[in-house]
Amino acid sequence: MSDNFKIIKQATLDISPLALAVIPWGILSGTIAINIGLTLFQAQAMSLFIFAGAAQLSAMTLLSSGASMLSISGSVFAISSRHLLYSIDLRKEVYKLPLKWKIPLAFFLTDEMYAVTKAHMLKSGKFSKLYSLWAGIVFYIVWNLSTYIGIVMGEKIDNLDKLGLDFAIVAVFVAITVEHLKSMSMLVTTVVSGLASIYFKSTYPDTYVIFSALIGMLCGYLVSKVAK
Amino acid sequence: MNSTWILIIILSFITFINRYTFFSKFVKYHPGKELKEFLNFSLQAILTALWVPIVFRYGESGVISYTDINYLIATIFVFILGVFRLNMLLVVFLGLLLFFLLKFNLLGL
Repeated sequence: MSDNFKIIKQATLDISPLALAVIPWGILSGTIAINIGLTLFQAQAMSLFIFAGAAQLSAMTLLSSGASMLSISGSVFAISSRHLLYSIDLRKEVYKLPLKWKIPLAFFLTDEMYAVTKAHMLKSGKFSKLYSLWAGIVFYIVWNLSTYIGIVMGEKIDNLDKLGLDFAIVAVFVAITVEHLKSMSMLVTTVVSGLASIYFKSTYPDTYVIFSALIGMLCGYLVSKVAK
Repeated sequence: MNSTWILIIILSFITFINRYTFFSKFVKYHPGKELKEFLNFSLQAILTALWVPIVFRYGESGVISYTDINYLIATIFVFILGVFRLNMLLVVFLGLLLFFLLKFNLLGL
């Protein structure tokens, strides 16, 4: 078995729980897209090109309420701004690569791809572009297939959004969060960003994730400094 | 081309820029050691900020409450399974199983 094949196999295995959990979320986004009046091609194009679950859902909610293009763009920018943090963190590993690697690595960068990339870097001690890209591609395919299922189902099933389909993503994120609770500073980060997100969500529906995360990160960072 | 297609193109550009900016050679900034340490908390902080408000909410009287009892119970269950370091696929599967059993009242509680 060649090394590349091993890496591809490992990436597929590692991303699979996260990809499975996003299926209901993808179905939901396809369904909503059809229900607010997008055409089949537009609905699929959102997942094919925007490729950002929370941002797509927010954009569709705003679009159906008649919001302006500027405010929809602002919302999508705010929600996906967390990817800036991932790309700063991976900069050292990626920026010297040729464009044919950098562009797809950026395009496929999601919370889930970053999560398995970081875990793999910790375990193997180095960044593997093939591993990250492959994990990202698998996730992309699953996201788009489930969007397609949602588009097809959308016209047939009512109240799909009330089935509690978003619990799958909660389950995965809780599982990852628990795994990382290994130090006092991580615990502080978790508690602070969790409390902040509850508090800010109703007031700042677009920016609460990045705000709460930055506050939590700062507190965890400060605790780690004091502990040293 | 109608305005929805234009919007989809603009939004695709926005999400790509957020992902690509710091991979670009045109950006000269390099994170130092301290910033890297700070960024080590980003995944944990972001995932938490994404899932917590789905399960918990800020009540009118200023207390923290849950959004839906089934979400709360299944979340606690997943949390406990996670503490025991079970395989993630299994944890997610069992969590979902419990959630839908509760949701559709199949436990006879």
